[in-house]
Amino acid sequence: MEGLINAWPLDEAYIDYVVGQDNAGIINDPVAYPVINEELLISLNENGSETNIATGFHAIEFLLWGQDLSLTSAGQRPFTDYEIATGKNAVRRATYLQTATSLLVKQIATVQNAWNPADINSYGMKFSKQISQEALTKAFKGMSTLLTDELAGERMYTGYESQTQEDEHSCFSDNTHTDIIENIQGVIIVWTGDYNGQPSVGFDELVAPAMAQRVTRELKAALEAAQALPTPYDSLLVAPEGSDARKQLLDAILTVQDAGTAIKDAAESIGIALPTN
Amino acid sequence: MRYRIVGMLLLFCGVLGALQQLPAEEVAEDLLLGGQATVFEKNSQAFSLPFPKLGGIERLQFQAGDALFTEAWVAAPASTAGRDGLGPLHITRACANCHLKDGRGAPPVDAQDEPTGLLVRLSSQEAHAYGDQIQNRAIPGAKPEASIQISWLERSVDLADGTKVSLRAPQLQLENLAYGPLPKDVLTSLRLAPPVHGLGLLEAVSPETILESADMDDHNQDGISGTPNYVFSQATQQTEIGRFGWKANQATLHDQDAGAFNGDMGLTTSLAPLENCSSLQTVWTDVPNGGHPEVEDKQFNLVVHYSRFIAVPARRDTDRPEVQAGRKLFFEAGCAACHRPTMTTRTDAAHRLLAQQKIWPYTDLLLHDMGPDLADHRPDGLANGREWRTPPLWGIGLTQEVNNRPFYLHDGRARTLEEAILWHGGEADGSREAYRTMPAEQRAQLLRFLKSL
Repeated sequence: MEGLINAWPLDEAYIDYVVGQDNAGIINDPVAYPVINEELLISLNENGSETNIATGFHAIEFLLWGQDLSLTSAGQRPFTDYEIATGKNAVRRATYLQTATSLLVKQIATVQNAWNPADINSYGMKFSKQISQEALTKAFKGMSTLLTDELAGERMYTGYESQTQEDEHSCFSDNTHTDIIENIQGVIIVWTGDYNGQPSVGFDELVAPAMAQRVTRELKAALEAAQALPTPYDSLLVAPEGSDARKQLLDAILTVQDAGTAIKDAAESIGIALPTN
Repeated sequence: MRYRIVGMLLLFCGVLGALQQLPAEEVAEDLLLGGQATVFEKNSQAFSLPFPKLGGIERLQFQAGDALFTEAWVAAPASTAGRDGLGPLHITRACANCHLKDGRGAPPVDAQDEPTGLLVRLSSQEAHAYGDQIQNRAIPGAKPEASIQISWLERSVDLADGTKVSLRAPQLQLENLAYGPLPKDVLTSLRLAPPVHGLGLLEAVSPETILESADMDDHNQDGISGTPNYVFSQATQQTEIGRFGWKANQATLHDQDAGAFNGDMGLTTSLAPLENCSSLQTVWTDVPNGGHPEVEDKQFNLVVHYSRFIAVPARRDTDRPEVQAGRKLFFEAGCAACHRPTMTTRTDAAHRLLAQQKIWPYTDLLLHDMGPDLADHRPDGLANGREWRTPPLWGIGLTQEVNNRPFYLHDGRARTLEEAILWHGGEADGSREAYRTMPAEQRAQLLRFLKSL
């Protein structure tokens, strides 16, 4: 399910034309794929390669924004791509966009229903009945690995290392800074239990006060570091070696990694060893 | 499950040494297959995780290496300038396309499909255009060398209790040869992409430790004559003991990774600076390349870093009686003579996390005569046409979880571990016969042990 919703990175030439390949992609291949529908897109997602992504957020992002060929703006897909008179395979492109979007809406509804408290067979309700060691391991692993390996590592450091725009997380819309901030914010919500100004029970209450304060402090530091990053994010990736911008990005990455490590340490402090550690 | 948690807690308390003092039925001595480089994940990510103690920048570099391992390379020139230079001849576009989820490749399910995670090595004394492996794909404007067609011959073997097991052997056909006929004396060998976890630990085993198990002339007369392969390393510029690949024909991860970039994806590196086209394939002298080298040193080193620091999953279910009984049978049947259970990595390894680890790879990294049925009749370095390097067994019990449909042995012919055992011949005749004549319950126990690895 996650692979259909949020798989990344995406080889854009798998879906549609790119610079230098006018006829690339599923959209421009009516012979192999005469009918674009949900079944087709599901069957083609991650087919043959982990970057052959046909569905989800980033496929939709590419269909809306197009390739980002500029350091000062996001992708500039012309609206004429969707005009029958001017856009090659415009109808197929529109069908693709509508299909991928309705598929995403359905899948997100499935995720929401998986946590439906009224349904005793939902994943969330079964999860709450697991022995606490297992459930806590999953929860702490989720928070910790999202920050250390997924966010700091795959989504941020990879681009820092390669210094190329194409390794930006939301590389078509240049919305990466929002992704990063919201990822960290999401972990803060789970950790503290506080949502939209409403305080609630969080995982922070399971550990000693000093440990809880350390994790909260490090999460806030990560959030502040992410919020302070200049935009568009891809300008940071291509900043020259030794520049202040590059140093600021690396500092932010390490701060996010530290927050994830703090959560791992918090888990260990109550006898929970993460399977990845 | 209980013992898994015990093991994890011990790991965190840093009292690894205490494991040996616990009663055998509490914690198996080989629970931590990768020493301190062991993880406890048992899902599809089990072969994809960094060493637990890899931290800071080095852990981030692991993720950057993972990205390079996973993402597709494209033909040059391209807007994705960091990843261009694919081909012109290639088998696939990304490492992860063959090493699926960092696990093993698969033969094509449909006979019409062109294989990806299964390649054809070839050699000949005569001049020919195809180099030492077939590239069955090419970028636009170039022609693939050939189409690889594999069909399967099924045959049945009888176990001692009358149970029948169907085995299949591949029949290779190379069609649509684009660069002239194959030489008459051509020798071919199918090779399945192996899993990539734990390779850094195997690289950190000293030659002396490997040679402890070598017995080339079978002086101890146990019918097992482990032989080292020796190969020239581009990385160290000297002859080294071979340890990677189905014939132990690569000495270091640098050599292995550069060879795969070059042979499988048509990408040049500092270690393999020339395109994989022979001088008889002149059509693409004018095809653009992706720079010199196409994989920059920085990128290449990240991929080596990644392949070096992939952790090994811990054993599971070691407290179950059938698993413990199966382990005993594994030793009694002589399997451990080649599938050497344990060794300790060198003290002066390339990185402190690789040093002095007591690991349980279940391989001796040596070549063994595996009999006529598995023979490819194609020498490779010092390995003759009947010899294969013992493949590691750590993690093999998670093949299903990682790769859905498991395929074993050098060409993916075995669809189950039982089939793989029954293909063993030559030096492993005795072990195979031991399995074949076991009662069903013991066979199940032995397989259950393998599943726990």
